[in-house]
Amino acid sequence: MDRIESSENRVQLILPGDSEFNATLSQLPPAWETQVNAKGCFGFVPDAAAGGVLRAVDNFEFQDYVLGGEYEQHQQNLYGDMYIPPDELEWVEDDFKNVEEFYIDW
Amino acid sequence: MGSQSKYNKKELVFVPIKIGTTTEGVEAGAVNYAFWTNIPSPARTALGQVPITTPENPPLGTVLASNFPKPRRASKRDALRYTSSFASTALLRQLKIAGWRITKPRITKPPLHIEATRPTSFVHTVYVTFRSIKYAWQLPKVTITNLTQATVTALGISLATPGDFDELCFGAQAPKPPKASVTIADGVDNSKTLSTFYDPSVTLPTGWTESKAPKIAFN
Repeated sequence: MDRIESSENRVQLILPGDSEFNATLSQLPPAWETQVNAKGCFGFVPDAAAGGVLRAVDNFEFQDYVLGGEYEQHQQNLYGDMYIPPDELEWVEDDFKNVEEFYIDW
Repeated sequence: MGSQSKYNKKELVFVPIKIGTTTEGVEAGAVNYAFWTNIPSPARTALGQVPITTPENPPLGTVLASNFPKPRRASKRDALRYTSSFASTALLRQLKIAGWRITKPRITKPPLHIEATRPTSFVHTVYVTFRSIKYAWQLPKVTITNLTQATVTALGISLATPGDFDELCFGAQAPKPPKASVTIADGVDNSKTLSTFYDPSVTLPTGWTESKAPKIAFN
């Protein structure tokens, strides 16, 4: 994973659209172990309201994230006017009911 | 007891995908999209995922987790398991028949900033050809002005045209072309250092040096 580079005479601003931008956002938040332990964690999701910074969620919060519209909001934030809404539902409630094993690649 | 592969370290795979939807609505351009997965191996086979066995020297024409293009997502609910991953373009029809739900990425056309369609934009979409992909990014127009168009061309950077519509890859974690930088002195206390990706097959113009090595390995 790339890291932000800076030196005495060179400071980089990593703006949206820069190839380093996503790599920077996908860094785990500070003290993530504590957050994970506190939640019995499912994983991390990019927070739509906080500009895509990762936050820890438990299983129920994850369902709410993808079914409740925040996931879509984040996609919209990412792609701006290039965003095209999906023509069919990507996630449905039945995907999560009584499931014991989740495998999701991003 | 189901599969235990969720506890495994994720492994590198790729799926062959189409790059974009052309203005005529046709899917065109092809690239291999690489990502990490831990889904059970029967699902990997079904989705056409090919293991990358040499991440230090990945196959040409393969991009690692680019922002664009993105593959189609295939999802399936089995008894106690939910699987959602990326699928090879060639297999979409048979996957639907087999009960997978196929969904499109949210962006099906490249974020193209070119004079013809977005004349007021502050950036211009440019690319260099590297490892058999067109590695694209948005170059601020002010950088082009500072460098001059002739230098931009000499660095092997091409301005994107509508003809590149279905070939550009944005924001790939790898491969990344090398970067070169130059310091332009403009009177006393007024020098500026500029840096940009460049095509390593060109000879760098006078004053330019490589400031960051290319990234080829997927790791």
